[in-house]
Amino acid sequence: MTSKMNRRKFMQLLAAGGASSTLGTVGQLALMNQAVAATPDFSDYKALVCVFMLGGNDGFNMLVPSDATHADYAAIRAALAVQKNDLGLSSISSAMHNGTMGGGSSNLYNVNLSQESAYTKGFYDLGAKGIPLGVNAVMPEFAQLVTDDKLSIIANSGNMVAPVTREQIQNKTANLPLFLFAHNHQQRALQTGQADNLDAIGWAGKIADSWAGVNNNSSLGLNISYSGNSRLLIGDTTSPLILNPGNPSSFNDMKLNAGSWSDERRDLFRELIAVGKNKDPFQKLSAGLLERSMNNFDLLTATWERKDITYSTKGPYGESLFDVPSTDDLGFQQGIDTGFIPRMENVAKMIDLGVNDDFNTGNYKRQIFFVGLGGYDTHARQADGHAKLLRELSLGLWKFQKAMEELGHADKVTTFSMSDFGRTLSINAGGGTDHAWGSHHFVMGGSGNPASGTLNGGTMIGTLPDLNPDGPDDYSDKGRIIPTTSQDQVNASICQWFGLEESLIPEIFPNVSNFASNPSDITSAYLNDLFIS
Amino acid sequence: MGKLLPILFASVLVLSGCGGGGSGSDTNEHLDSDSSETLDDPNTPDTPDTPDTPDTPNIPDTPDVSQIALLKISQYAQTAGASATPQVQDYIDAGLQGVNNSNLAKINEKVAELNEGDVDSVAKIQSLLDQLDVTATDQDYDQDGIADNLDNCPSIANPDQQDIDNDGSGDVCDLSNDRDDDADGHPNETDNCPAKSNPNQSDIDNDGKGDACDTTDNRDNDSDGILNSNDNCPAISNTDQSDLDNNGVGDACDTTDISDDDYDGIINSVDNCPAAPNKNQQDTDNDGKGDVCDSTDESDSDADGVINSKDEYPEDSSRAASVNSAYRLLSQATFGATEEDIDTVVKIGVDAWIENQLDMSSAYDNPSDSHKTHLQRTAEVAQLAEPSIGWVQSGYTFNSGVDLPNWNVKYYQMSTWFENALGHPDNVRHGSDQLRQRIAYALSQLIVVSAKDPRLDQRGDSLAYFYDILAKNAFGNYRTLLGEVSRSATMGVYLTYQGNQKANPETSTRPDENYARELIQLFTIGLSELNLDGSPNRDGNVNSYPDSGSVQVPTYGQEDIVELAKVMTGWDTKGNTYYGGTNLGRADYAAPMVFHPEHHEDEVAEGGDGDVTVLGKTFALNSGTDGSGLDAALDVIFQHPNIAPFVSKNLIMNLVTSNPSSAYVARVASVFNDNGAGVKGDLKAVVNAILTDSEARDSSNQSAYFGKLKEPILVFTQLLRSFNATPLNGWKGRADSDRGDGRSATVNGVYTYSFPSNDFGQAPLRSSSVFNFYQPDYIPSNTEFSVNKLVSPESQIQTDGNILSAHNKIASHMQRYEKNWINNINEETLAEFAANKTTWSTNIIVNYDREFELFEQALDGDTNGDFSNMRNIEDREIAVNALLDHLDKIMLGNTMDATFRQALTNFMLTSGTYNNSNTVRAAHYLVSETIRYIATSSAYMVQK
Repeated sequence: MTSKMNRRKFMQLLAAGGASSTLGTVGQLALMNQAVAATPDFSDYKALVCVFMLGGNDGFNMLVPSDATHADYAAIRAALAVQKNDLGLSSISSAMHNGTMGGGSSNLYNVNLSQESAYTKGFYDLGAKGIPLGVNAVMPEFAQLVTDDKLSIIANSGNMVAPVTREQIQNKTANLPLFLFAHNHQQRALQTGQADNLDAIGWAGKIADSWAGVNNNSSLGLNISYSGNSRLLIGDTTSPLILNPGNPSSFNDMKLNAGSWSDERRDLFRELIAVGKNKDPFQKLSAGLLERSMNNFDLLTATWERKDITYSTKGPYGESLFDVPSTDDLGFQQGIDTGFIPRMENVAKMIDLGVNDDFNTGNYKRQIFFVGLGGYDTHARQADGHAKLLRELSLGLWKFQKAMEELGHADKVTTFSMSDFGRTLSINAGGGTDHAWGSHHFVMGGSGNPASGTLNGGTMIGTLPDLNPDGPDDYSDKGRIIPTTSQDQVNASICQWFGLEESLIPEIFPNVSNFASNPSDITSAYLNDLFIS
Repeated sequence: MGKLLPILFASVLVLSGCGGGGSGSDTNEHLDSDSSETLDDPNTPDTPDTPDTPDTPNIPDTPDVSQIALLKISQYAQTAGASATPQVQDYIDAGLQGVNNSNLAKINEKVAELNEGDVDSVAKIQSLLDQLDVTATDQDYDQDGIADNLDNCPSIANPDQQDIDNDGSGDVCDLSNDRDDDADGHPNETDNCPAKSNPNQSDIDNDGKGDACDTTDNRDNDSDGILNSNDNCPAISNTDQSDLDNNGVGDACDTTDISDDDYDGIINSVDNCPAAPNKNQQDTDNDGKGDVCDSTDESDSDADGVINSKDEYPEDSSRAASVNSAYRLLSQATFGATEEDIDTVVKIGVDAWIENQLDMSSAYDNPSDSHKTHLQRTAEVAQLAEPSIGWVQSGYTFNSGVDLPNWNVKYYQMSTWFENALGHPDNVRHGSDQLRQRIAYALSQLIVVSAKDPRLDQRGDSLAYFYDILAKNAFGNYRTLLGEVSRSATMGVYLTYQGNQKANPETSTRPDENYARELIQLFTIGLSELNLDGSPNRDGNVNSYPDSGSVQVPTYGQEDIVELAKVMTGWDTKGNTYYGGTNLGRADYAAPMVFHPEHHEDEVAEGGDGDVTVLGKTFALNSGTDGSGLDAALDVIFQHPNIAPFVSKNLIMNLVTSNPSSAYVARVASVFNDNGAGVKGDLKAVVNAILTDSEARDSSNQSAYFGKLKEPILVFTQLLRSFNATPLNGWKGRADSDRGDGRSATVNGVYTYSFPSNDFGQAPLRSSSVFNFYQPDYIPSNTEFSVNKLVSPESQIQTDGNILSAHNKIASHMQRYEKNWINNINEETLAEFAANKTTWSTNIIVNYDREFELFEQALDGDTNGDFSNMRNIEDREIAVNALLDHLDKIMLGNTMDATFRQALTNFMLTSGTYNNSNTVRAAHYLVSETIRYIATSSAYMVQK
């Protein structure tokens, strides 16, 4: 890629008098916009997929200690503790790959077909990968992804401004994120990329602003959300495409290329939009949204209908790849929510359309997808609810990864997790957990064949915390664990892989430098083992 | 409580902020200078006055210096201690060698032991000095190169001989400073203001710092708790420090208001209308109040019952408000303007309509009259839709325990919501209290529960019950509302404190923090300290704003949540089989929860003090008549100054405008704080203040950014109300015996619309989380909004997909569910049309009778339904114009843009659709499509 002038450099140039000072403000703004529009000339395709577990995932029950520290964990987790019981992943590995894992009571995690009991039954030990953790029993696919070097674990990460110690918290000198423990603000801070700035636009939105016109000026832009209008994707001058899973629809009576009846109504609709674009700010806003929606659905429907993807790969129970396994196969009392899997199916198809130029607007170069999964705010009856969520997460990740492998895009796509925060290790009266801070996360991608520029799968990055309440890593005495790795470090590393200009990384993640081991080298803050160099 | 003083980050900041600027450090300075003054410093030379010895007889008439010096020394010998002590200069003057500061005391000591006569000559003294061995004139004790007798500090090396106060004693020896820089006669050291001349040393606040120097007046003359120097009116007690004109002089003291709030060039103190620009100062009735703000004109020129000051047409008895004013009001205060309502407001005026609505009877006046509560009507609808089930036992309440839980009840609750939003042809009282219902809906977006909760999903009765709490208190008090919400089974289930228990060391559990946090963060005071106008409060004074800086001061800390969580224990659904049980069929979910003291946090039993501290206020965990501490906690939260701007701004944004001015928020928040009768939280007064505010009413008081995007669901209700929505009669409910597939009951008089979220991205009581459908500070990706930091919360759900699905719902429903279309195009009766409709259909019929009538009257000169002149382009143009005049009024409040109208007209005159030989069909398309294109335009999406 070629290096182009970015906004900051340009502003510096202006400040230094390097640009003509005889230009008026308007002229300078125009120049600045040109500078902003300078988008790298990518020759390849890459996608980021952000899996956001809304509500605060309990990562400490997704991945539990498999070594001697399990005793500390079990003591504070009490009734919610996953037992120290390795179920033996290898016994089902080949069946999982072949789609013959067997359902119902054949599931390794089965206990009387009860998800609540399965949740604490045991784990799949990752000791063979040198990781002293076990994956919750209800997530065999997730464990297999680690084993196959397609997924790595980020230990105890979270939303941070700067490294924090328990002592600093007690002294009230810690540099903490704003409104730590409040859902919406922690979600937002993770999305702004600045734990101490909730007002900023999203970090992916900033990338989209900076890469204006990426993907050959396609109106679909850089960012696509399958879960509403997430701040992550919102820029100052760009906004994400927000879609629901499933086939894109078209406007009634106004479909593109559908004859004169439709065409004359399209013309009228656009005429009325044009009127709105000359009115007051709110009408302009609304008219712009109407126009954009029509443009995008024109493009999407035409393309989507032309291509139908049928996967030969099967799901672990032998189901069609993106089908949701039945409650019987899952061996639970209730089925899993079907929100995540169809969304990932849509992401997979959208990636394939972009890579292959199915939009006929030139091959896509870069895309960022946002997929949110709700329900992780497990204040009550966590064993029941979290079991279903983790089961769904494990299956959805597996299916998506398999789809990318079959389509040949696995090395082009990196999927990573974010979540509001982790949860208290201590449990509450309702059999649930409350808002806390650090949690285990994951990054998925690659084809399991180590090569330069691909995910260094099957590893654990970061350090495991002391899980004792009131211990050295506890915020206070409830088991709210202080993260040891910042989400910014993860994001910066992923963005580096994504091809974000080095100069933009500290601008987009201004706090990442606080984590640099070598103050003069910001890249020392990155998780340099995450990708193979 | 666990810790004696859970210090918030907020309070630390605030306290240290006040302390730093207060009296502490000044006092310390003062003490330091005092103590140095009282030190007995042996090196301090006496004041170098000439000796007071004028009457000594031995002195010649014209004594020389040496004689005076000698005399002084000898007198000292005679009366040591009584007369002035000889100084080095005295010995030098007397012609003696070798006396210096370091040996002076020793020499004087020896001199004092002698008699006057022993030292009455230079020689005698010199011999004394010789005995003391201090004679060497070249002695240099400190070896600084300057002989002791010449050295201004012989004991400490100081080759530069610096002596800034010129007292003969070098600085290094000189511990005090007896200069008098300001030449006011008080040496610096003792001067209470050494930098400025203040001979009188006045220090009115007795802080040791003279007034001339003192910027801090630590007195509090008016005893209002604010030190004079911080007090914008030190003479008159004014704890609120109100300073409306921001001139730094508090209102209590301010006799001259020099600001010019309305920027009309005439300062407030002489402006006959300081609130509104009126450069001409016209005052027709000469009452001293300018015409533009004269509301005291109670005369009624046109005798229409609306006084002139409230009458937009004071000389026209047929109207008191414009169509546009009426439309705006109804957009803000109802679920959509109907033509009838517009005409009413035009006739009676805006204020009268608001008053009528605020006093309108409701379902909560009489439990057994025909105006039913949401819960009562939900039960009745359930009975109509599934008649074989004994939903209703007596009255209109659910027969507890029978067939609840049930997935369908939430659909009947939604039916009831639509009935109250849209009105009902038979249950005429339902929806008559539009303003109350609209406020309830606004409150449901502030105090959120949702059917998305897996348990409430099956207990629609609980949702209806909760909505009744909102509607009942919509014109009541916010504190009462909080009490009922906090005790409701609905909120208990939704935010997981139903069954919450005290800490249990054996199972390592502690109280659930969910409600504690959201109650503070979302329902009452928010995350950061606010000024009265809703802006961030950084200076600790809610009445001064905006505050400079960028930090936000948090309102609470984690410790507050931990403490409040303890309060929120011990509550369980009424009639539950065991404490905290979650079985959906075994408790009353449409009732207040019951308090169980045995499950309430009991710190005393664990050795604690039984107190909790929340937001800096401490109260007993078991306080209150029920012993739950809940009311004490709610009182503490309710007293927080944030609640007024927090709730007021939320409601303004929901009803009127996304970006209200600071002054608008402050005006409403003031009413929240005090309704005029000293009551805080009076929602009736708050709603009245919001709707009657000049910023809500008067275009000349509105910025370019006034207004908001309508909520998508309100776009739909407005449309339905504009076109006479009624229930589709005859749809099929569930079979008596078979709740699975069979459908047999014929249902009349019941709206259904079970899944509005699928079309509009939102539905009442169906938010995906406690954070409502959108964030209040959502800034859309639109340069004008992002550059100006303007919010448009509703645009957050105007996604590409939602826009498309809403468009399609409107386009199809407003055509295919229209009575005339069904009759004339489908050629079906309504009953036939309804026959295959179920709970899952949108059983809401609109009709364009009035539109067809006026269209055909203009087209054909009759209303026989044949639309015979459709193919005559001149006639059609006349008819289209008549139709657009009418639709402009009822759909857009007479604001249709001329270009917009031209585009629509052109289409209606040129499209082949309307030239069809089937003129009836063509006319039906024309009317429905005209409505559809207005309804899906940006003009219709915006409320201004």
